[in-house]
This record gives sequence, structure tokens and C-alpha cells, in this order.
Amino acid sequence: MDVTSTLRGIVRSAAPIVIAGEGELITERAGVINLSLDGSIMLSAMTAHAVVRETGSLPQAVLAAMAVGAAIAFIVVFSSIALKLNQVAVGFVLTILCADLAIFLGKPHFNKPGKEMPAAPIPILEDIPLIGPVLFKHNLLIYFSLVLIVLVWFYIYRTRPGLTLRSIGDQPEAAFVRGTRVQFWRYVYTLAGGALVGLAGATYSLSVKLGWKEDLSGEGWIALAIVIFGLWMPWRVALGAYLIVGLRSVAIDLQDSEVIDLPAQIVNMLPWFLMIITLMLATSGVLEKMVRFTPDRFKPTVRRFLRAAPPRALGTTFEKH
Amino acid sequence: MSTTTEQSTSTAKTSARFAGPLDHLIDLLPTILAPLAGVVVALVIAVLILQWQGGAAKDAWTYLYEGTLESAVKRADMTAYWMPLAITSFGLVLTFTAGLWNIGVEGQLIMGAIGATWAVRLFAESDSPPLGLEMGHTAILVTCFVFAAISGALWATIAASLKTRGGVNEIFGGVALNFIAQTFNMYLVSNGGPWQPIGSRATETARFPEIARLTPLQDYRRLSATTIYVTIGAFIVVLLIMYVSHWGLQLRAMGKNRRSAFLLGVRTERNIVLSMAACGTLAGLGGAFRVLAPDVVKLTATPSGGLGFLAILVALLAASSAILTPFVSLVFAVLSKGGQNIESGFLWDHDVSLDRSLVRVLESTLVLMVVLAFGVRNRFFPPRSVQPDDDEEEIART
Repeated sequence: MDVTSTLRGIVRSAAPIVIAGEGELITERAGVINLSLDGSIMLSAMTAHAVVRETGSLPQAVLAAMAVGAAIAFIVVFSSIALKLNQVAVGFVLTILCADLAIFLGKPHFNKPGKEMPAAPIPILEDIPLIGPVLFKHNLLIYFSLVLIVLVWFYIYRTRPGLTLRSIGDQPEAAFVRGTRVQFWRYVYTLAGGALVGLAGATYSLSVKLGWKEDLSGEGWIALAIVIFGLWMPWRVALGAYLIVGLRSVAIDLQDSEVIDLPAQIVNMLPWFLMIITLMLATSGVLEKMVRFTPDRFKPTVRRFLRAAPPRALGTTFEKH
Repeated sequence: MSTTTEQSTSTAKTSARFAGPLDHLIDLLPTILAPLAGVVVALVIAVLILQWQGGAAKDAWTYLYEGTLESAVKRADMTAYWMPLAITSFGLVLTFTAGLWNIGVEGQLIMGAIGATWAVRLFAESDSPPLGLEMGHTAILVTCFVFAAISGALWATIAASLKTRGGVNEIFGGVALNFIAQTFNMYLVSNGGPWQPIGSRATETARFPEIARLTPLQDYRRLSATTIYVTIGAFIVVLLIMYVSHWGLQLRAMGKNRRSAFLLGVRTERNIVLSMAACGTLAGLGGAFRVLAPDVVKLTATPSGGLGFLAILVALLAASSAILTPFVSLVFAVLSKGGQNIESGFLWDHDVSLDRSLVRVLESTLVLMVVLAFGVRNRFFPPRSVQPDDDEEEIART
């Protein structure tokens, strides 16, 4: 097993999940749950593939996919804020609707050759051993997934608008009293998150799983679960994505190399077992207990890494009085 | 002075009494119009898609009617699809009422199908059945249903205990368990899996022996009377639970506000597990219908075919009302079964390629539009009971 190519593969195949996860993180930090990720990713992936086949333009394809993601997110946030509907119900119906739409509208483009995002290795950096091929020999979409992690972290924790973002998800009443337009910003962040989900779809069909083969069902649910596993923190969300994709690819490699004899289906089940286990770890007190066994010197750091709570106003509607 | 006030109040009273029934009728209007408006919008969208793809809505309706309702044979085929959908939706009424998003119903259905197949393999196909039980036709079918019900219920219980013990939201637990059940099913019947007949390349088990097949009703080869009786039985049980039993009331209370229900003495954790298990039981029976149906009699790679997700849409559209569920599931069964005929009809008669997934789009659009329409209703025409002014008047009057 070649370590470099394995790591490179993980960075590549985790990219869409990272992008979608960070997008959903922004949405949920603003207090809105967009449950439509699975269908959104399918529909936007199909859109990107169809657009690139029709026009041949990659930028247009990416933009179209992002527009689709944002449009779906708009339905979620509009029905939540303006119509006071349950976000889970609307999101779930949208998941199914978008998956069906993707299959219906994508029939003419099903399994047809598309266009791949051209590789853009970064000069000089790509020659660094190990790190070079792993991080700096990809295409723009994959680079963006890496940059996005830092960007989202910086925005949320180090800028003033980021503080506002956290406040409208945690304490919308307080934010409102401070003069923040809660509803407006919820629209903005949900649309932004939706656009990122659309970009994740484009990353699938233009790079990671080239073309449209109706086989993307499940990726969006993994992204949604990773946001919970990541306890709504950008770094941990990315870590979760790399962890799950890494284990998946290692399992596939092991199976290919016939070191162990596993039926392919057991390997396919793996991410879902992982999802359940990681969710249990993230939401139960097990991780808390681990803090006790760390040396005193590292306790604050470890605690900060492990301890977080969901945005307090997640999934609720905010009303001005 | 006092008489005038008395008079004015009495006129106010009579006018209020007089306006009462009419008011209530007007109040009801949005409640009736909202879903209708949603349906109309969804149909308009479907017609627009049809036009865009080059098909006429009238033809689509004709194909739909011909494919599902025109002849007795077609109606029987449609009913064979309707029954498992209906029984699964009945189960979801229980969990949705309790405020539980049992997305895992798809997996519970698949596990039911696997459970029924397992019973067939144990008692009908093997030469030495466990405990030396040599069973007849009825006994084997009953065993199949029991196995299916238990498998579905157990699968649902896993999701429920993950929620109550592990703190895993039932949506995510359910989604993961769906995929695990699907993959497990695939493992059993594909690539030399343990249930695939030796030497076969088809991803399915061998056809069940004659003794483990549901008897077709008269000469309709897909429909069996047993499924109809079991579904009606399940419907009556769910009706009793929802409208008569104390447990149904507890589930409603949990759905409205789980914390308040808990504080009022409802054992919410136990009810979460019980309602999920009840739903899993019914979904498992639905899965058994799918594999034991006289024209199938084998475990295929996709025994559910998305029926569980369709049932979720049914339950959402029926707003978790037990009485509405059979009718809504009938509509969805007609749409789903008609999709095939729409596709082939347009292809043969008009040379228009229209994928059958169009009906799926129509179904989910229908649910989305009706949900949105109810949102519009609540926002712009709120039900009278919600308007606080009324209550104040009422209090002032007494």
C-alpha cells in the first residue's frame, strides 16, 4: 500500500464532504437545519454535469450547481422563517424531491462522458516529498476544500461578522436586542451554506466521481452526521470527514490487496457503523470522561477540543416581540 | 342606562351566536383550500414538466388510468402495491404522532423482507427444520409473518435505543440503519452470498417452494387476499390505538411536547421504543408482503424499492391522520404503479422518452406543495382558535 497515494486519495475524495460539511456548519451555526443535503448534492452534481455537457464551460457548471444548492436552501429557510414550518419536515421532503428530480432530469446525461476539472499543481510546493503530492497536486475544487476549513474557522472565531453569526444561532433574542437583523442574516447564511453544498455536488461530478451515475445517495447524510460529530466546529468537521473517508479507503485498499478477506458489502457498511459510533461518542459523555485521563498540562486544550454544544437556537424560529 | 348595556350585550350575544356556524364554516375554508391549493400547484408543475418534455397531460392521465384502474386485473396489481405501502404508512402514523422521525422505516421494511425469507429457508426449504417442525402451508406463512414482524421491530428498536440510550437522533440512526440493512440484503443475495443459489448470477434467492407462497386471489396473479386481511387488521388496530386507547393519547401528548408529557407522567422513553417497535412491526409485515407476493416469491436485491420513503411521504401528506392514510396511500400507489405505463405509453404512441421517475417527482412535489400550503394557511389565515382576541372576548363575556 502506497502511503502517499492513499493520503492523496483521501484528501481528494473527502473534499466534497468537507465542503458540504462546512456549508452545513455555517447554516446550523446560524440556527437553521438544512436536512436536504443528500438530495441537494445529487441535484447539484447532476446540474454541474449537465451544464458542462451542454456548454462545455466549467465555471458555468460550478456556478449553476451553487445556484441549485442555494435555491434549495432558500426553500428551507423561507418556509422556516416566513411560513413557520418545521425545518426537518421541509428538509426531508426536499431531500427526496431533489433526488427524484436529479434522476428524472439527469436521464439524458446518465453515464455519459463529461468534463473533468483540470489538475493545477502548485509549482515548487508540489515537489516537497510526501506533502507535495498529497496537498498540492490537485485541481481548484480540492484546493478550495482545504482553504475553506481555514476560512470558515477564521470567519467564525476571528471576525466580527462571525461573532454575529454565532450569536444568531445561540442567542437570537440577545442578538436582536443588540441590533442584529436576525432573520436577514439567517437567510444569508443558509443561502451561503446551500451554495457550498451545491459546490460539493459539483466537486463530485466534475472531479471525485466524474460524471453522473446516480450513485451519490448517502454522501449528504454522511456530511450531515459529520457536522454533529464535529460538534459544529470547523476543524473537527474536517477531521471527521477525513476520518470517515480515510477508514473507507483503507478498508477498500485492504480488500484489494487481499490481506484480509472481507465481502465488499461489509466494507460498504463501514461508514454507517462509524457514523452511529461517532455520533454516540460525540453526544454521550464518553469523550468527557477521556478528559480525566489526560495529563494536567494538556487538560485545558483537550477540554476545549472535546467540549462544545449545539447552537442553542438550532432548528427554532425566532420571533420579534 | 343599565338596560341599554344589557340590550347591547344581548344583541352582541345573539349576533355572535348567529354568526357562529357561518364563522366556523369560513374558518374551515382555508383548512380545506390549503391542501387543495397545494395539490393544484403540484399538478400544474407536473403538467409544465410534461409539456416541456413534449408530452400532453391528457395522454399522461389516460396512461395512468389505463395502467392502474381501468381493468380488474390492473386494479388488482395496483392493490398488491397499495397494501404494503398502506401498512407501512399505518406504522409511521404512530411514530409521527409521537414526534419521532422514523426515517429508518425503509430499513425496517427490508429487514422484514429478510426475516420472512429466513423463515422460508428455515422451515420450508431445509430438509431438517428446527425442532423437527414439519409445517403446513398456513403455519409456514404465519411463521413468515411473525419472523418479518420481529425482524422489523428489532431493527426499529435498535434505532429507538440508539436515541434513548446513545443520544443518537433517530433520523441519523435511521439513515445509517437503512443503508446497513440495504447492504446486508445485497450481501445475502449477490456475488456468491449465502442466500444466492449456487451457480446463479442473478442477485436474488431461488423462488420459494410452493408451500411458502401466498395463494393468489382468484386468478389475479399478483394479489393475495391474505395481504388485504392483514392490512385491514392493522388499520383497525392503528385506529383503535389512535382514537380509543390511552396509549394513543400519550403518543399525541409526546408529539405536542415531549417534556411536558414526561412531566405529566408519560413514560416517554418507553413510549419511544414501543412506538418505534410497533412501526417496525408493521413495516416488517409490509416487507413480508413484498417477498411473499404470489408473483415475486423470492428475496430480490431491492425488496423495498423505496417503498419506505414513499410511506414517509404518505404519512406527511396525510398529516399523520390514521383515517386519511389509506386514501393517500391509494393515490400514491396509483401514481407509482402508473409511472411504468406512462413511460411505455409515451414511448410507443408518441415516441417521447419520459422516464418513470417523473411520478416520483410528482409525488414529492405534491407533499412539498401541500406542506408549504399549510404554512401559508397558518401564516396568513391562522385558525380561529389561535387568534388571542377571540379568547379575550369570550372571557370578557362570561
